[in-house]
Amino acid sequence: MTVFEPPKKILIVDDDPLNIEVLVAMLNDFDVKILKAQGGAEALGIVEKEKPDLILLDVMMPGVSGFDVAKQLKADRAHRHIPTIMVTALSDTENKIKGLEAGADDFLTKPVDQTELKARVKSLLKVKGYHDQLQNYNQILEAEVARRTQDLQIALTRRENLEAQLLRSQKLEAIGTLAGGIAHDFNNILSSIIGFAELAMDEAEKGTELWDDLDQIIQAGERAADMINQILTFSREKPGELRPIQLHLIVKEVAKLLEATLTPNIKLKTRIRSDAYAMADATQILQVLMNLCTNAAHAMSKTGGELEVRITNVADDDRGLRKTLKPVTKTYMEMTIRDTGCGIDPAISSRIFDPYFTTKDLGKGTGIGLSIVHSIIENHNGALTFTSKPGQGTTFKIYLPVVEKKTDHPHAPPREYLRGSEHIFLVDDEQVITVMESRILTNLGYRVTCETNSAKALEKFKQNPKLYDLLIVDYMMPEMTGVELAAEVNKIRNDIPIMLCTGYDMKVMSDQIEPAGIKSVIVKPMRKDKISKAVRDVLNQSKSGTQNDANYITH
Amino acid sequence: MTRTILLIEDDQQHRLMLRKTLAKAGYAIITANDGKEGLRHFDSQIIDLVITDLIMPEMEGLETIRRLRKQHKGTKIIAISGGGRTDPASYLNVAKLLGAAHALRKPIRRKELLEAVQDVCPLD
Ligand SMILES: Nc1ncnc2c1ncn2[C@@H]1O[C@H](COP(=O)(O)OP(=O)(O)OP(=O)(O)O)[C@@H](O)[C@H]1O
Ligand SMILES: [Mg+2]
Repeated sequence: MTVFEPPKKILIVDDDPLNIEVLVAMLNDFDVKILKAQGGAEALGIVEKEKPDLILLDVMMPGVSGFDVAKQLKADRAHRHIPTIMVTALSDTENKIKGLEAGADDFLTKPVDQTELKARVKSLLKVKGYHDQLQNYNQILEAEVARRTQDLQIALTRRENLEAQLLRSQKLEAIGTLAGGIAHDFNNILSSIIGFAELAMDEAEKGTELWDDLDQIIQAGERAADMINQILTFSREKPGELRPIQLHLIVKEVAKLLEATLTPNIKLKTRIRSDAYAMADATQILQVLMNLCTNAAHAMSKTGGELEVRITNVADDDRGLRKTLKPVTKTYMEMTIRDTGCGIDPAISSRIFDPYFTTKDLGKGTGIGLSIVHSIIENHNGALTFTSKPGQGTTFKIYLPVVEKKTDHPHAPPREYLRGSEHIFLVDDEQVITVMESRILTNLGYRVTCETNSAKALEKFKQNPKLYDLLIVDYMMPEMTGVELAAEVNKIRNDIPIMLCTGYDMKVMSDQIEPAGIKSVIVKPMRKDKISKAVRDVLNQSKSGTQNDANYITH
Repeated sequence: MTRTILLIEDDQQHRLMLRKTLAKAGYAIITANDGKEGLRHFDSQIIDLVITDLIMPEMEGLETIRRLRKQHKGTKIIAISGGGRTDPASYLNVAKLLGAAHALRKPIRRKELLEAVQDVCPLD
């Protein structure tokens, strides 16, 4: 039999000191230390300090009752294993059930019988002893297991991260697809809601409750429309063009934007420790930083605090970087956004990247900020982690792969453009464009005549149709579109090549383009290389007399 | 002089809303469920303005606009769209390129609608 070393502690709780003394006397020949409490609150305090091995608990006490004490202890991880015997004058079943529900392990009915008391105390102390021993073994085991699990844990976290990220992207994708599918119907519905409310408003008098209520319907409808719009924009988000850029320039830009918007109780610190280049889309990274900083500022809006934006190079074996799932094959740089705000409750930390998850008041946040951040970083082949302590603050870290600075050829040979000397008739209602285009064409050696009005252009052409070798017309012109003008010109001289310029990809209209004699469609904006090649192609084609379908030049 | 608007919209509820709104503003309204049906009305009516949704079964709104421009050159057109898988703005752009005088995005506010309508088809 195990010798109890040090002596076991028994806590006796009763509002009547006399009852306590009776129990103490009955336990006289046990080698135990007796602790006494004359009320529930006092008892809880002693439990906290002394960690007794057994509690004898009177049920009927003013203030914190025996039930309350039992309940609180069982709810507490550290104390739920302490066996509790309820001592009660009540012998009715209902109260026993109540006691058991509260977590009592056993019952004694007053007046207490000494033999019974000793038997119960003994057996429960024994149980507690076994429990303690078990816990000791457990601790040893746990330490051992912990050591072994550590490696496993890292692997697991990585996998979890991966799964979570996968899930996130799938969710986003699903929402995007869904949104695209329903947006049209949804906007019809919203349009009906708003429209009928507006009709109903005609029948209501301004200033009445009815009028206000209808106004609310309209506002709600518009909010829903905004939301649909955002989902759509979001789901359509394509990876922007990634170019090597120095991220610290963006950080500086963000700092400037923030200075104007941050409240004075928030101190902004920027620390730039890297001027490395990353493959990134500047606008998107700006968006990421603005989102994270806005969140940070919001988290500190009540208390004030410090917002730090830091950018550094990281080593391959950086701990933060290793925590992310990315196999580290590249060199990364790290952007840190740290705040001293309210922090993120661990209970919600797995959801903050979910689209539309927000803790902000209705109308204050849509909950889309972090999901956008997440998808942008994904598109950049980067990684994202965060740590947070409620009440102390939050730190987000972003890792982006670094690239070697692009070595611009300092003396790149000047581009060779295709040139010519033909006479080109240029028609565009925008004068700036005719000026710009004619400058390009003149530089390439061509002779150029310009006109900004399509009707006048037609007149001019009629006067001397043989003068020109090529007609370039803009599509969108008042009075007569480029296609209509082309058709008229084609009637007068069907061998003159015509080129149509448009701000929009108009494959939809191909059935009108060919009959109008248009040989080539070129999509704006015009660049010198594009225009020089297109013009040369069309001219060469018409000289060799080849009959080709209209060409599309979009880039 | 009465002004007649042909309203082509496949969403029945939305059609009713637009119809009531425009009728209240003083226009005569004919409605059609799709472009094909809409074009048929031209045989028996004088139509001053066509308001058409862009995404509909049977004849797509864009196609409707193209036919209108070919067959009924003088008719004014206003396109409306709530978008779908692609950006509504891009549909509306095409509608304008094809000759719609205005392109409105759903949900449509009455003020915006009436301004557009009165711009191309004023009541005297
Ligand atoms: N720095 C932070 N400190 C504390 N909580 C944060 C922080 N950043 C994000 N959160 C929590 O994550 C939630 C989601 O953030 P997210 O940026 O996605 O949406 P939002 O800020 O609520 O709304 P939105 O960005 O669309 O205006 C926030 O509502 C907030 O609870
Ligand atoms: Mg946010």
